[in-house]
Amino acid sequence: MSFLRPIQHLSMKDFKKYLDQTGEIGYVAKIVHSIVYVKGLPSAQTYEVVLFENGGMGLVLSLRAKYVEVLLLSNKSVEVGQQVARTNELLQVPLGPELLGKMISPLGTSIKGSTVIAKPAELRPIDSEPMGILGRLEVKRPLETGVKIVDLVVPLGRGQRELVVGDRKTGKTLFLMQTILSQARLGTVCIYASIGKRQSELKGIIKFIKENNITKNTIIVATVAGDPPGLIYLTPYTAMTIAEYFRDQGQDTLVIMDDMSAHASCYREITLLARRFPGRSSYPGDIFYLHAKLMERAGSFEKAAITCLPVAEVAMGDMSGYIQTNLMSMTDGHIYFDIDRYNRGIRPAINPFLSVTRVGLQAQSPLVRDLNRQLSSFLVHLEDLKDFMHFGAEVSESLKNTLNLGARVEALLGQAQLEVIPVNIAIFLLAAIWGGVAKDSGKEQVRALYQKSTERYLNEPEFAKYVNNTLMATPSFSELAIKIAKQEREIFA
Amino acid sequence: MYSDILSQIHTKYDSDALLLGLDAVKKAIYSKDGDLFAAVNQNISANLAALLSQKLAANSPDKYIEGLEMELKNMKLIKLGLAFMPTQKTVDSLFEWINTNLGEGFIVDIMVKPEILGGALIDCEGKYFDASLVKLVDEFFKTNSTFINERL
Repeated sequence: MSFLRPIQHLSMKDFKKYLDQTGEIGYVAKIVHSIVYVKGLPSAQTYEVVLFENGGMGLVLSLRAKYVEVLLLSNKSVEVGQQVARTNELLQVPLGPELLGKMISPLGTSIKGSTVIAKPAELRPIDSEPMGILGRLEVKRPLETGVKIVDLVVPLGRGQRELVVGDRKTGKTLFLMQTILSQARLGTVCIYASIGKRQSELKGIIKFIKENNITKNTIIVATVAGDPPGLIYLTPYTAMTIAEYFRDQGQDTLVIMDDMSAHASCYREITLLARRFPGRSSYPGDIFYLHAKLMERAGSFEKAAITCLPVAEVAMGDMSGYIQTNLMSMTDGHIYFDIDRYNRGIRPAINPFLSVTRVGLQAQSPLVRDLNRQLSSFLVHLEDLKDFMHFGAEVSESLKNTLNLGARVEALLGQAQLEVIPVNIAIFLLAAIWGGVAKDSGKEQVRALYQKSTERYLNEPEFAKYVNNTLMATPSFSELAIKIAKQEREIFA
Repeated sequence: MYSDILSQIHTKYDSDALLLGLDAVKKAIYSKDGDLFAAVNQNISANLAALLSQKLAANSPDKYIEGLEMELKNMKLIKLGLAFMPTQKTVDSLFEWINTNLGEGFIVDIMVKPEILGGALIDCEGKYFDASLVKLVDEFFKTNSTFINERL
């Protein structure tokens, strides 16, 4: 059946039209918070959109012997006895290039409910099957986040699904903003799904996007804590559907789902209200299936890639939570924000030892792979050495050198909040200190050198060209370090 | 067992009134000084009271009332939206038509909706049919809009 107009723009007037069109009616029999039990609607199907007499919208969750179980999607009050009409339509979102730079609700309307796209290029159901293996490609292209420790130690690839996990207030959203900034500048379509976040947090994100002038490559799909649980539940689905649309237009996309633990809690609330059997931590049995299906929609495809960064919150650094471990098992690695490192003043508080990237390395150049191997083993060695130093042992000259290099590497990997550093200058500077540049300088002098070199890279095209060409011409990290060390005076004069 | 009583129930109003009356009669069964038949005469409409008294005398009263209540609750409801309040005669003839064409076990709930001008809005067991005059008028204006505009 052809729809009258996009489902999200339906009003009370359309109720009567759908009633005539489907020839079926239902009556609200029972309301349990956001779940409504409707008597009637004999041919209703699951995930079909239904309309209430007052213009409210709902989604059929399940069919029972006596009732149709409907999840409320709007804030309009529903009363017992109210009439309900079927629409014979699955929930679809309007899609088109006009979405760029907009903030929308999961139904595809503006937050206040008005139309965002008057004539959508396409309408797609928000819950679709992930693409099969034949349409997929290997993750082969790198994805720059602009955060040095990630780009050098846990690098990502386009089409990768990387979980961002950590305690509250450890800088997860800041990292995501840095990634958006870095990618939006490179022309990637960035979709930020704010899942039931606080309004003040959402405002901060909008402000950041506006201030950095990246609105034209950014879309926000937003629900706030006060929205109906049904709407919050749909947020990541809409974000992924938009990403799929842009992927099919040949544009790489980055989807951020902030955060999936809130999404799981919201789904738990809905299912418990609907009297589904609770499983571990009271989550329903299909929570793994739901999240895995959603993650599976991202990946590297023939037309373009969808990179997905789901977020999960942990409590007191405990990564063994049900949802967190589920998400870890269905993603291609995770970036762990460590509360201890945060409390020690390390920014970003990413723990390189507990972070994992499974397909990210294969997407990097041989130089980055070589660098990553050496840097990772050095960081582990440095950590061991620091533990050893606690015993007050006397250190040899070579150990002193290692500790000195470690201090300079740590200074390099540290990064101010919301600062984005191009990966090439980060590699160049790391190779420089690896080769012994500024060996005898203090921490502050080293930081000043990094700062100055980064500014030169960003503002002097000649210098940027020199850095890029040097990196292109040198596939080995050790060779690069020696080469830069030899030219130290010319480069860092 | 219940058909002679149920055949007297035509509308939702009748059904609700009988259910209410049965509730009062039930109380009399379990009351120490309660007179069951007096309660029937007092709470059940005159056309059903004699019949119900006979049935209660012939059966176990509590079980009979329980069964009758169940039957009443299981009756299929036909909601009718009409532009006018029908007379009892109209309701009776309507019910006769339903009995002949659809069978027994139906009750009618009539709502007055003057905005439909004429005809009826019918809904039964989730099925909905708009047979109103206002729909025909709307369709007429939609299909003949060019013709009407030319004449105006």
